[in-house]
Amino acid sequence: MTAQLAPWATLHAALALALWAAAAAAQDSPLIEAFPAEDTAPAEAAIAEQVLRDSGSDAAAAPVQTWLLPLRPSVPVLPSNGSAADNAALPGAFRLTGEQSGAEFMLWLPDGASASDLVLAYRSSINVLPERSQLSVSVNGEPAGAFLLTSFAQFTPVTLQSTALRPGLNRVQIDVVHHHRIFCGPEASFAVWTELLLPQSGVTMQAARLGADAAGFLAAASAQVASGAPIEIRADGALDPLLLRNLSARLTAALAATPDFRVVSPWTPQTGAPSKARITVLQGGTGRASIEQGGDGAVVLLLDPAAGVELPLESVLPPLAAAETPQAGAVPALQPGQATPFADLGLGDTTARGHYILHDMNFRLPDDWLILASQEARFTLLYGFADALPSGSLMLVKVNGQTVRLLPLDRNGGRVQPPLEMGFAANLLRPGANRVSFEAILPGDPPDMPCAPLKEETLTILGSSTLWTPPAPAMDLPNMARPLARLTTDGVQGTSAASAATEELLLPFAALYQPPEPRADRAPAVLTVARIDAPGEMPLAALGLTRRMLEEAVAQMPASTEDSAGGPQDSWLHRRWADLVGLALPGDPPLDRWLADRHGIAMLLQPDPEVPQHLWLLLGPGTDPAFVAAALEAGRRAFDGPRGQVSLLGPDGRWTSWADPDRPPRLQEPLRPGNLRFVLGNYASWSPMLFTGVLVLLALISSLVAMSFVVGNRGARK
Amino acid sequence: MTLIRRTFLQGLAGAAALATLPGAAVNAQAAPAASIPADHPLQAAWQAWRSSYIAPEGRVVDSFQQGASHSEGQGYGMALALSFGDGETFRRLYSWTETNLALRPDALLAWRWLPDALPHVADRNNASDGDLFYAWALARAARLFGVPDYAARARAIAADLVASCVVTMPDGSADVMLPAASGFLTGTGFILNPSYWMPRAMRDLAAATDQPALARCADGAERLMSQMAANGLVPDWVEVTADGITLPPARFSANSGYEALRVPLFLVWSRANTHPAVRGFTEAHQAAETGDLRAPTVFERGTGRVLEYSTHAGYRAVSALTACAGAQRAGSAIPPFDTTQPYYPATLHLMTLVAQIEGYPRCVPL
Repeated sequence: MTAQLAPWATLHAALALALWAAAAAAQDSPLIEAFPAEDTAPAEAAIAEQVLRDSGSDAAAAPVQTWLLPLRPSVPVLPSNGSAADNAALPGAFRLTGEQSGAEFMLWLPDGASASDLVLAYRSSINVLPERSQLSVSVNGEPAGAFLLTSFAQFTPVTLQSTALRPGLNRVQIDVVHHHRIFCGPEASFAVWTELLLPQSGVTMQAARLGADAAGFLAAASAQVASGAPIEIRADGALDPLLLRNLSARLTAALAATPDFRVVSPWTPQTGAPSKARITVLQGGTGRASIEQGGDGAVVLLLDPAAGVELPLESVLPPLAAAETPQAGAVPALQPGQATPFADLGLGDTTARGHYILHDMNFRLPDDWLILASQEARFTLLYGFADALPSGSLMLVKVNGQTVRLLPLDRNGGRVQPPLEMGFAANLLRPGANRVSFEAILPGDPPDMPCAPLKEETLTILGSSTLWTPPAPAMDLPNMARPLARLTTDGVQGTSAASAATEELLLPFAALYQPPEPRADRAPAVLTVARIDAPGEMPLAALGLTRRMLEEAVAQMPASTEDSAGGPQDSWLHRRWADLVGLALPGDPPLDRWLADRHGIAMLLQPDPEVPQHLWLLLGPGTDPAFVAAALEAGRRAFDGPRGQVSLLGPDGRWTSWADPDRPPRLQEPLRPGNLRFVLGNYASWSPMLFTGVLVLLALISSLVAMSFVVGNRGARK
Repeated sequence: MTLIRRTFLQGLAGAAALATLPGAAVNAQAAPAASIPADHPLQAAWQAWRSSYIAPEGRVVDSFQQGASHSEGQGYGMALALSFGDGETFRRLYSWTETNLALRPDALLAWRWLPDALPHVADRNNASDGDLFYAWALARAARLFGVPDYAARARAIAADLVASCVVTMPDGSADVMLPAASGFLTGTGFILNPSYWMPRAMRDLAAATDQPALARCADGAERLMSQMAANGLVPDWVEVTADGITLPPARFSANSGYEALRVPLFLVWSRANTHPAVRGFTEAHQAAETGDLRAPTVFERGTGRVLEYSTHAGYRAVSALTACAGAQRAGSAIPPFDTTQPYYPATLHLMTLVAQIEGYPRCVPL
C-alpha cells in the first residue's frame, strides 16, 4: 500500500513546490543584479579587504637541508641503550682502546654521490700523548689521511679528503696509535682511548640528492639507525609477518645493526624529528615494490603486496645481497680428535705491537661432544716475540676465560719459538661455542715514563699452530644453547595472542643471522617471545617456577618479604648442609635460590624437558627488543652466551645462566666397551655422590650375591 | 550589459524529489556517520589541530593574522569536527560563532573578529566561503546529531547566501558565488575568488536546504575553473565583465597563490580529481619541484614562474594528494600532519588528509 502511494506523494510534493515556485518567481528575485541595465546606477566600488593567508620565501632563498650519512660498525655491536653499551660511555660513540687499535666501518652512499669529504668527530682520553698519537683512515683500501689526536674534552670534527668514496657500500678502516702521556705498561694501555661519535661522523649530503633508489634508501636507513630513532613501518591494517621478518633480516644484514622497528599508522602526526627512511606497506595492492620519497623527505620503501604475488625485493634492493657481513656466517668448527690449525679456526698469522695484546679465537665443538672428566686437550703453539722485552713480560693462554698457561716473553725473544706442546683440562671446553684467548702483558720499562716507541712487532702467533681435543662419546647435557644455535628466523614466534604490538616485538628477532650451527637433521628450534606481563601459556611447573619468581627476576618488582627475613634457610646448619651438598652434587643451586638475588631485563628459558627445542624469551617492561635481539644473536655465538635452562640478560648485555642440576647427561650412542670409561667418567664427574652411591649399591648387591653363593654352596664343617 | 535575473526556484521541482515533505527542515536523509571513525589514527591529528588552533571558548585562532578569527575558520573547524564526529567541539565552535559573528541583520556571518580591536567586529560584511562551510557543517550536523535548530539555521544561511551572493555570468552560462554580499561589484562587473567555491559543499547544502541555486553555483564553479585552467593556473582573484574573465583590480592578487591553493583541494575533495584545474596544478607543482621540502605557493599568472615557496607541510600535502588522486597511484607523498605550521596550511593539511580517507583510499601517505 505504501509502495503504491509513494509516487503519488512525490508528485504531489513536486506540484506543490512548482506552484509555490511560480508564485515566488512573481515576487522580487533574491539574486543580485550584477550587470544592471545601462540606465541604472553603477554598482558599489570594490572595497573588500584581501586577507594575507601566509608568507613564504622567494624562489632564490632556498634553505638547504643536509643529512649526515653516518659510519656504521661493520661488526654488530649491542645497541647503545644507556648503560647497555659496553664499548663506550656515550650513546653512538665507538671506542678504540689500547696502544694500537682499529675497526672497520660501513658507509652507504646514494647513487650519483660525488662526496669526497669524510668527517670524523672524535675525542681522546686525557692520558693520550698528542704529539705521538694519531688516527689514520683508509677508504675502500686506499689511504685517506691521518691526523694527530689533539681533542680531549669535546668531540671535534675533522674532515678528510678521499677520492675513494663511491656510491653504494664503502668500507672505512680506522686505526689509532696511542701513547700514554705519563705511564707505560698494560694499565696505561687501558687508559688510552679514542671515541668516534658515529652519528656525527660520515659524509654530509643534501637531502635532495638522496635519490629514491636502493642506495639512497640504505643510506637514509643507516642515518636513521645512527640517530637512535626506530625505523617506522607504516601500515593500515594487518601486516604479513613473514614479509616483515624478511625485510628486517635484510636490513639488519645491510646495516650491521639490529634496527628498532615501530609499526605506526600512515596518519600518525609528526611529533619528533622527521624520519629519514621508513617502510610503508599498502593493503590489497598490485604486488609491486618501489622506493619513493615521502612528503617529509624520508626515503620510503613502498610495498604494495598482493595475494599470491611475491614482492620483487631482490630487484628493488639489490645491494642488500652484497652486504652480507662475515659475522653472519657460521662460527668455525673444531673436529675432536684432529689437530686443527688456528688458521682454520679464524686466527691466521697474527702480529701485534703494544704493552697489552689480546687475540681471541672463537670456535664451536659439536653439540654432542661432552667431556666432564679429566681428559686432556692440547695446543701445539707456534709463536714468537720481540727480543729484549721488559722483564716480567708474559702471555696468558686462556680457555673460556680460565688461564691454562703463563708463557714468559722476557727471554729467548727475537725469533719464532720451537713448537710448544701444551696440555690443558679438556673439561674447560664445552659443547657449542668456545673461546681461546692469548693475552700478552708487557710491563713498562720504566713504567712511570711514556713508552719508548716499539721498533718491531711485540708478539706473533702463527696460524699453523694447532688445537687438539680428545674425541668423546656422543653425550649431552640438557642445554638451551643447542636449540639456540639452530634457531632461524622462521622459528621466532609470538604468543597466541597476536597483535601489532606482538609483531613489533618480534621484528628485531626476525633479524637473526644464519644460525651458527645449522643442522637440518635436528628438530627445528622455536623461540616464543613475550613480555613478562603476558607470558602466555609458558609451562612453568617443570622448572618449579612461579609467576612471582619471574616477575621479581625480570620485572624487578620488590622482592617478596616472606622469605627475605632470617629464617631457617639462613641458619648455620643450613649453610653447612648446603656446602656439603655442593661438594657432593656440584652444579647450580636450586632455581629459587639462584634467582633470589638476581635481576635482569630479559629471561631466556628452556622450560619443558619434553620439548627441549622450544625456548621462551620473556622481556621486562620497557626492555628494548632490539637490544635483547642483538644480545641474543651475540650470545649464541659466544662461549659465555645463554646455556642451561634459565639465562638472565643483564642491562650490560651479558648473560648469566643456570643449569638444572637434576638433569643428567644423556648418552646419544650405544654403550660399548670402547666408550664405557668415558661415559662413566662423565657421570662420575657430573655427580660424584650419586656415582659413588651407585657403586656402593652395586658393591653391596655383589657382596650379597657372593655371600649367598658362599653360604648356599659351602660344605658343612666337620 | 544585460540585467540578469534568475529565480532561485528554477529546477526546484526536481530537487523536491529529494524531500519527503516540501519545506522540510532539512531533507530527510539517513543520518551519516562521521567519515573518520572514533578509533581512526587520524583522530590524533584532529586532536592536535583542535588543541593548537581552537581557543577554549570555541574560537579558531589564526595567529598569522593578528590572532583573528574568521567565519571561514569557524566553518572549516566545524566541518572538520563533523568529519571526526567531535560533537563537543562542534558545539563550542557553533556557540562562539553565533554569539560573536552572527551580527548581521540577515542570517549570514560577519567575516572577521579581531581580539585586540574594539569593537571586535569592525566590518559586518560576510565571507561567502565562511557562510558556505558553516551552513554545510550545520546541515550535516542536523542529520548527524538530530538537532532541528541546526537545520533551520543552515536553511536560513543558505537562503541568504543565495539571495546576497549568487550572480549569473554575463553570458548567462553559469551562476557563481561572489566572495561577499557587498564590496565585490565593480562598475563593469564583479570580482570572484575561485577558492571560495567548494563544489561538494555547495551541492550538499543545496540538497539539504532546497537551494538548487547553490548546486548550479557548483556547476558554474567547475565550468569557470575549467575556463581559467585553460589559460594557466587558476588565479587567486579574477574580475568578470561582459568581456569575460579578466585580471582583477590591482589590489587583488592576480597570481595563483595562497588563495588558489584551495582550488585543487576542494575539487579533489568534491571527487573532481580529473578536473583540468587539478591537472594544471599538479603539473605546475611537479615542474617546480625542488626536492628540498619546499612547496611552491605563489605562481606568477601568465608566465607560471614561481614567486614564492613555503616549507609549511600543508601545502605539500595538497599537491601530493592532487598528484595521487589525479594519477590514481598507490601511495601519496602527503607529509605527516604537523602543528608547527600556522593555522592556514595546517587546516589545508588536515582537510587533505580527510579528503584522502574519504575519497582516495589508495593515496595512503607514504
